[in-house]
Amino acid sequence: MPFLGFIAVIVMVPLMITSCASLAPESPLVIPKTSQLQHLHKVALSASVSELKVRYARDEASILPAFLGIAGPFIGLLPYVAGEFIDYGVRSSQDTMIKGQFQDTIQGWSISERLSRYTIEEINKGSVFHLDAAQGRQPSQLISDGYDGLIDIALDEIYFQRDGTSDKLHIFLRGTGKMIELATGSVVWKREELTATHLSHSISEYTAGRGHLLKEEIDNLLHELSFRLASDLVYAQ
Amino acid sequence: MSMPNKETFLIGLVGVHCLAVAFVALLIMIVAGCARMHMEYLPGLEGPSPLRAIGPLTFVVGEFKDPTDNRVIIKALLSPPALRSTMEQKPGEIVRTAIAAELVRNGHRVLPDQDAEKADVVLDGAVVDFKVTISGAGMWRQKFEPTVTTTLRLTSNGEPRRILLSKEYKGVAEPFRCVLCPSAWGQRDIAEELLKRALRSLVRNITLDPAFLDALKEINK
Repeated sequence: MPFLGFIAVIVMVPLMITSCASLAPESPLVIPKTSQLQHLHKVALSASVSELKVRYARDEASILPAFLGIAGPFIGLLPYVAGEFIDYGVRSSQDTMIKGQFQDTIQGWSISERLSRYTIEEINKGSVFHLDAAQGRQPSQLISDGYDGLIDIALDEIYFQRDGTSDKLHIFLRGTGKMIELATGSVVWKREELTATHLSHSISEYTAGRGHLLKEEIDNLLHELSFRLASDLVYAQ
Repeated sequence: MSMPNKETFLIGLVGVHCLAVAFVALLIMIVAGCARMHMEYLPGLEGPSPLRAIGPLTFVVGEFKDPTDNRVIIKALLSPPALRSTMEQKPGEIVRTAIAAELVRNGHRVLPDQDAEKADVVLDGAVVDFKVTISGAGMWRQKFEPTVTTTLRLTSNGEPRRILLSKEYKGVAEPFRCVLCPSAWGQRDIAEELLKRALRSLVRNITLDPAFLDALKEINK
């Protein structure tokens, strides 16, 4: 048995030293040019929202793998791995339950409709082009309806994340804005934005009073995200 | 004296190998951990900004105080000084340089500190946080979370001289999670990149803030 412990150390230490875990690269930015935007007179906008994610229980320091880890060098590699798997499984199911709670709270409250409306309002402040919503319409249909461009606003992620080691959560929204010139299919603008709540709150605070705080915080972030994405088109040179 | 049998010899050999691996790992962590970070870059802010729509102003970007003078961005193994990654520059200086660069990129002039009287606007503040927190969940799972927060004061140099804005801003970057996470030098690269992203977000949050833009427009009237 002690040999397994030694093997664990011999295998794990070099793996950690040579681990090539690295940050995912950021999405490339396409800066809009006035010369390109001038050709676009009538533009449609569609918004899409991905599924809500929660990382709360999984980010909490856990005792089980640590306990088995201490015991590891004496009883082998297997308890480490087993502890991690069990712990991760239990915590993932806890996060799924919390996600269900949040989803129930905001049921019937359309995030994509809000995102679409706020972005149209912000872009229209700049009077860049005529812009209206085109939810679910195909590019070919848009061309025949006289549209020159299509703006696609995608809320790639809406996730709740533990604030450091506290029991509170921050809300993060990560969205991408992209504009295509329909005639050529070329991408004339693309930007990714990330916004987060300034203050973190507990699960019960978010869900209390039919989720008043939860809706208010998401709404504020949607406003901020729309404003940030729209500024590229409003202030294009 | 009797010769050790084959089994005892093998146990001894594995033990020596383990010690050697642990020693080399510790040595690498010490060497890599105490290296100093270089943060004298300017964040890659690109694209249009509402700052450009405001007529050219002259700024002095004054001191961003850093009460903690915290240059340690990674602490390892209960944080003995030898196992820390530190930055070459003070966080206050990094924040100041990044804000000044964004103003210049958008057509404004930034004067040296001694010309403060000639400037239209003076910006200064205090860095609240400039760090990456590494928290563990399980033996091999870790989360790297950057926090870049600063207060900003905007003073109009006109007559009368007055503070038009005093506010706290935060830079946001997505945390990095890993299983079987990299060792000290890999952690330093990740922390550096996370801080760059959070700093870029901080500068963008300031320059896209309607309150900040309104204050500049008022000075520009």
